[in-house]
Amino acid sequence: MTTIIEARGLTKFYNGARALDGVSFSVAPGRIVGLIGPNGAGKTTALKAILGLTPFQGELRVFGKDPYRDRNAVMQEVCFIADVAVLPKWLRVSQALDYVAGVHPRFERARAEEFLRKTDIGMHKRVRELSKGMVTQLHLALILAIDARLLVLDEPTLGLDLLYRRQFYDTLLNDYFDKERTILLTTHQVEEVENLLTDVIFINRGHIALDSPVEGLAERYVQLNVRPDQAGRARELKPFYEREIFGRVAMFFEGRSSAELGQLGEIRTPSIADLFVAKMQGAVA
Amino acid sequence: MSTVPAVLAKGWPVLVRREFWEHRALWIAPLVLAALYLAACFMPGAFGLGGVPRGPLHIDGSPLLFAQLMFTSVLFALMSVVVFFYLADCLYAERKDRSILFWKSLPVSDAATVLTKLVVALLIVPLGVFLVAFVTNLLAFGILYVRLHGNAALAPLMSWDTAGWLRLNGIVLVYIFVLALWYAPVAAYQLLISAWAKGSALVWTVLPPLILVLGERFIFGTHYIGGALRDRFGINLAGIAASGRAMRAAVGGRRLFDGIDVIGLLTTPAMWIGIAVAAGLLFGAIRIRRYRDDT
Repeated sequence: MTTIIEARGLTKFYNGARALDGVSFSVAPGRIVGLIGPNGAGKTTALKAILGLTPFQGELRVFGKDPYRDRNAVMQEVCFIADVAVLPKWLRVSQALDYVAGVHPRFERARAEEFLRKTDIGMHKRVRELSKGMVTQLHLALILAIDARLLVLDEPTLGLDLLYRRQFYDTLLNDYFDKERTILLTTHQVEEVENLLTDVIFINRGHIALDSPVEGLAERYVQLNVRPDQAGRARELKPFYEREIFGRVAMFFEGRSSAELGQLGEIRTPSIADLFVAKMQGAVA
Repeated sequence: MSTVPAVLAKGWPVLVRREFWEHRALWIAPLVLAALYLAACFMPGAFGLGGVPRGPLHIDGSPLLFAQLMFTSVLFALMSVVVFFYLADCLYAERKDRSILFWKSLPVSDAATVLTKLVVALLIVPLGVFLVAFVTNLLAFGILYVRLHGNAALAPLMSWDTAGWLRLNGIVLVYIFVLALWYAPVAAYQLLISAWAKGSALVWTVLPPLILVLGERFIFGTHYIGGALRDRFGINLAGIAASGRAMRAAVGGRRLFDGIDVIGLLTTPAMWIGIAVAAGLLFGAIRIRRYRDDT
């Protein structure tokens, strides 16, 4: 199958500053890709370009189409939940179902109703009467019932408590995701999606800092925890980032074998969250 | 743009229903007025019917049709106010409550969204209000007919004139379509402002025309813009009913609306210039909504 998203030299200026600076990446079908970066890195700009909400320079294809020019066609295949895409307060749950059923050719109403039955959300409630967690559940119910091939999530669980956040991602994996579908998501809570992702793209200041399948990360990156007296020797192997934890020095290496580093201290596979911090801080240093 | 007709064909009814979900004044306000009118028909002193007439009544034309025309006009005047607020708010509210990206996450084009609001304001609400007026007038007639039954002095007030009644409703219906075209540039202007305004859409709706009218007056000493606006707003259902000629015609029964020149209105250059301006403003409103998000 062809790629879902293909970006080459994607560039976007905001008030004269480059929000995206010649970014290239591709997303294959059946992947769950985390687009991770600090605030103002260009994540939301990239998502907006993919969703056809903003014009851009460079080349970008979503399902082989230009998302800005062919937005109406692309949006038949794409769904998104964004922190900023708020359900209107006056909307009733039943009206939300009526509306999406009326405008979306791939919406399966029974599926959404089944999902809502498992929640405490009443059909005649208005959005303003629901808690923030319930509003997200409603939004998720609408999206899960749409047979879309690409789901874009921009900070979907922002402001939710832990139970709702966990439930959100469980539902996503169990009820939505399959090999035909692709998810692209951004979040600040990297720890919570670590085990979910198949690919990560780190983005910083409009540039891509890392683009890799998760399986490849363990071979490419090694975290070494050494005692301070061994730190000098370890530094000769050129870690790209280090920090002190509990009297040990954690060093992050790229392209070094575990065998080589193992003699100096304790070897670990860095978590995506640690790797993200290392990559971002290492870039500053 | 090839998908626009497809979305319109399937999604059209729900796009319209959504407007009435969000802007409930569109249907509540006319229904409340109609209910008040019907309640008034039950009041003992309604329409001066409580008193005993001094001497025989001089019935000139059809008082019944006159009453129907008056109620219809008042209902449409109320509707004009409600629709004015609706048009100012409809594309501004979705940015204010930050729901615009939710609407945009569904396959509904900007053109379909903007055109729905235009058609709701210019045709669907007026036709609904016509229906409310039509039914309310019949109910009011029924109530008063029963109340005056057997009252030899007042019963002639209720004399039914089928031809006049058909003519009255037919003309109101024709006028809805003619006025929809006549007011299209005003509605399109409001949609443009509503899609564009960063602050209060209502203030931005009124400010530019006001500045233009006053600016023209103080700088050039002329009144062309003000005159054009006066001409535009001068033609409406309430104005027609209130004009002396229409009143006389209504009371005179047969000559009801004789003086109103639909063909003349359709062939005046102002009508077609207005429609061209409306098309341009709509194009602008659709373009602006394309670029706008919650920011």
